[in-house]
Amino acid sequence: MDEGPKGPFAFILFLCSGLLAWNAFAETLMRSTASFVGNAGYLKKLPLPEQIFIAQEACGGFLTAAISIGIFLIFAAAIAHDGPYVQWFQAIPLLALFLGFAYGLGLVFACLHVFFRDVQPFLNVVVLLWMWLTPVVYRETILSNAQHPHPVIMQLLQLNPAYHYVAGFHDSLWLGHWLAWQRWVICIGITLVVNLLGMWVLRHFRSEIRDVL
Amino acid sequence: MTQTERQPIVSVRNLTKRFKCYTTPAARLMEWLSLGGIKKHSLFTALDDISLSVRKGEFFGIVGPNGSGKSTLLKILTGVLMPTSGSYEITGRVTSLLELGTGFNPELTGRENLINSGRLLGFNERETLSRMDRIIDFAELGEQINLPIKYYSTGMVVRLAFSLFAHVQPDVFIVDEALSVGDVGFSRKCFERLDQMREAGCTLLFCSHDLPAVRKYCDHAMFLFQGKCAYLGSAAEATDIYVEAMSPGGKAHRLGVADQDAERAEHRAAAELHASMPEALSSIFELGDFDRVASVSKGRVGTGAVRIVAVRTTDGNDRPRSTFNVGDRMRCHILSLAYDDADQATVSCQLVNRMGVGAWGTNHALRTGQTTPVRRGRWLHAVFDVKLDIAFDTYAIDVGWGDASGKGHVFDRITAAASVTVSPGTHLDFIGMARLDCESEVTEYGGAAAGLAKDPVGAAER
Repeated sequence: MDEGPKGPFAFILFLCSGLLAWNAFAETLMRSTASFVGNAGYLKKLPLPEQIFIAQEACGGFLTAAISIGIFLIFAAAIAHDGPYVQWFQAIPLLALFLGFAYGLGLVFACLHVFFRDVQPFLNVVVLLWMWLTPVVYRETILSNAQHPHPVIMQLLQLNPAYHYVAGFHDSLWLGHWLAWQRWVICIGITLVVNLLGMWVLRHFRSEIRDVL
Repeated sequence: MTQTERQPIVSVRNLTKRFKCYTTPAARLMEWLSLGGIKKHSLFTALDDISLSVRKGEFFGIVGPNGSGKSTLLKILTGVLMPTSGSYEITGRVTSLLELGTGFNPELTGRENLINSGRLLGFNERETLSRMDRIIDFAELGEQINLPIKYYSTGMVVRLAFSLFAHVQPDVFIVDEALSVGDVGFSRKCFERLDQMREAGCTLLFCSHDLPAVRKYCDHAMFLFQGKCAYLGSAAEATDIYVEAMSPGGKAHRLGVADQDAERAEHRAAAELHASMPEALSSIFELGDFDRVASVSKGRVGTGAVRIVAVRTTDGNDRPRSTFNVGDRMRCHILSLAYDDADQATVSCQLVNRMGVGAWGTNHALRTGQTTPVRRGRWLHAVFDVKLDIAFDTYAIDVGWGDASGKGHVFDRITAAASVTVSPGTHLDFIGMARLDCESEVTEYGGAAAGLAKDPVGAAER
């Protein structure tokens, strides 16, 4: 494919543009999952809203990722002579949406983890697997090019919610493109739905979580 | 403002809390996967239909043994747990001392922790800052306030926490067994502060095992027993009923403990013994003494050749009494019934202090050199007349009958068959465990002036 920057830094630019965001997502999800159990001391003593512990992880993840992506972009512009582009700023709301997605999932898994303490280690493996099912460190175009034609996989990829965010990062940071409005709609939609699900799960289990902790 | 004009600030109606107990997480998973088709949990009722109301400015105590639901109730009122059914309503701001120092970060200084914890409790930084000086003053931490609290002693952390909570002026203050920490001086200061808060219109919910404090500070109290309200009314009465119910042989059984049938059988047996005891002893032993011994199950061993049926302490004139002053004479009466013959038996009596240390003990054969022949079907009334030259404390009385011929059989031995409290009285002329028979004298001689030049202990320098 002839898109994207060329030269010795091409791959590293591609890799970082997706991986940094993914790492923030995975880390936030894992930490959120453990956060109810980890903060049992507070939850058992203070009438705090449970979700603040997840929100704390999500905000922490956002800050860390924003800084590391910022440093990466400075590197890209200064050393790899790629950019700067105005399109890069799309990464900020996109990162917020991605971590919002992690927050929603975190609510669900944090609740489950209180009841089943095996959830977190199990999820650890699932997230690793998920990363390889999502084109984070490889380009999705290799799934549909002439040598490896897998059109069905391309369609299945649309069902992977994380794909839309990661593709958004690749498009805005690596290619310097404006994201299609459909992509924004999908990302906002997924984040919204997962958050509603998370809120419902938390409301349903809230009382029992406090009992079990 | 009169009592009747005041609105209830805390009102609890038919509050019930049940916990679902699963033996393993797998059991829970099974239940979930079956969508409720399979029931794998058992329900534990921690609170059963509790109703109460507390008016503004009132101090309300909650007493009860461990596991009676006190903390669960306070946690629900704090908002940490949610009730299974029933409702509660609290008007105003609630602060709870469920555990002192919750939310303190060991790396932050005392000052920073105050602000941080204040935020956790829902007070903004300005509110806490405006009271900072008073809080620090109250905690008496001095310069240490600027050190990270990991360098504090446990007591200092407690002081800091209490000071914070006591100065943020909540409408309802919930305290769960927290004031017993800290030294005597600070503890008193805490209660003084609570009095001030009461005057300012603060309502206190106080759960404690410190019964004197409950009696002294609370207007009303509830005695919780196994999640049920066993008594609701004046604090003095609630604590009395609690103490009575929990004492050995008390009516804890009647409040729903264990086996009611066994209890009734024990009581019948005790009543029969009481009715058939020798007439001459009826002024000393009461039915309650028989009941108490009959209900002892743990701490009783022996072959049963002789059974102790009642134990009672009296003063020198055989009037029932269980509190004495140091130096008083106590008579410990032990009534027993022989179920078998024994040629050489002896009766023993021992005082054991609260630390489990045997303070004194003897048996009749040891003391007199004579064993007691025992005949089946006869009553045996033994008396130990003791001068209580002993440290003031509460002592359990262990009594027993045994074989004195060297075979070492124990016929009956009861641990803590009765208890006796020895008070310091008006004048205490000794310290330590025992008032040993002691004479002391000081004699003065003249003419040692030369020796003063040398100062063997360096007293002059001090």
